[in-house]
Amino acid sequence: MFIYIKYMVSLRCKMVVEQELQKLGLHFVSVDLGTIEIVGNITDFQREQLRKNLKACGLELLEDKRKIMVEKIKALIIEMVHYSDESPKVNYSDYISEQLGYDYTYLANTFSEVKGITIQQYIILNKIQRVKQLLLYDELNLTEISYKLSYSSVAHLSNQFKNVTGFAPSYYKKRKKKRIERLEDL
Amino acid sequence: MDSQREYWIKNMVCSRCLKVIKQELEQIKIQVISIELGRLTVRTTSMNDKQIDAQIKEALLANGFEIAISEVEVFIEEVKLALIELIKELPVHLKVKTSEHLASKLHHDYKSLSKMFSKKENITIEKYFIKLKIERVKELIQLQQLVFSDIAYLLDYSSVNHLSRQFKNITGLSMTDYKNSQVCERNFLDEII
Repeated sequence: MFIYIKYMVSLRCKMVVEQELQKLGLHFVSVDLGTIEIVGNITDFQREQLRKNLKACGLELLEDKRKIMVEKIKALIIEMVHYSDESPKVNYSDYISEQLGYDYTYLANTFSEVKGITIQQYIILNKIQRVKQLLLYDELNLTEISYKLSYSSVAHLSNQFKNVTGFAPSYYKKRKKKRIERLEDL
Repeated sequence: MDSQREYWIKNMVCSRCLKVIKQELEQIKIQVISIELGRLTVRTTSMNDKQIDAQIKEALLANGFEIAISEVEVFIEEVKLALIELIKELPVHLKVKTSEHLASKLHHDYKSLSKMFSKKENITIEKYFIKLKIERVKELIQLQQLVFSDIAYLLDYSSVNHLSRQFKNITGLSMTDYKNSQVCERNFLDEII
């Protein structure tokens, strides 16, 4: 993976960074001005350590701004889908861009690049999770669930459900219930 | 036998240079009294001046530094350091002209400084400064946190057009092309000439 470092300007900066990487036992593919590529991934602990050590040398490890943004989008979507009883009146896209104060196209592009799935897909996955939960609680029937999660129709919901999980909602409910009953019988 | 030696060193550009030199000299058991960009003072007890000169020279050369011997070289080094200092902190706001800044900082007539510089380095101070700034711009583009107009503002360009024209002139690539190219070709600050 790539790591970005601020204030690197000379051969000596490269040498110092190489030293610091070796101290932490990190293997690197290349160290160039501003960017280093390391083998595999870096743990949060190592990252923190590297940040400290580099700071002592007057260099700065760059926070991945895009990752932070993606985390924010995710939190917002989870909040929206799982913890609010009423879905927002406006579009998801408008809601997200309004809450975060960025253009939706920009947010969507960033999200897809970092996560590898689109915001839309991520929302659908979360909604289906919520549907699964609600099905198991058994308080609402499918029509009510579809209304609650602002689907246009039951058909739309069950189609989407089948697309994501591979089962129809009713079949999924039956199967889960059986499994729970069996567990209770033990 | 206790002696102090002072050296002017070429090609130092950042605090990592200080660190590396300190480490190197500690390894060969030379006590550093003071070190700053461009200047190094050491104390020795066991060696004579010639030996220590040779040792330090070797250690510096191995790390891409040189010892400045003549007065002219020292001046040139000071000019470079003053310019690097100027663009280190962002935003850059040049209150006075670079020529006046250099003249007052080095207590030397700008005309003679500029003549010295051009003769020795085959590039004018003005052009050198532009190259420095473009290197800084490259860094900022690479980090992908700022948009071009912000970069132009931070480096005291009158407009983004001015910057992008200058960038293309120096690097041969437009800023957008540079941003989109996978490999970011950056130069060491001491090797931009």
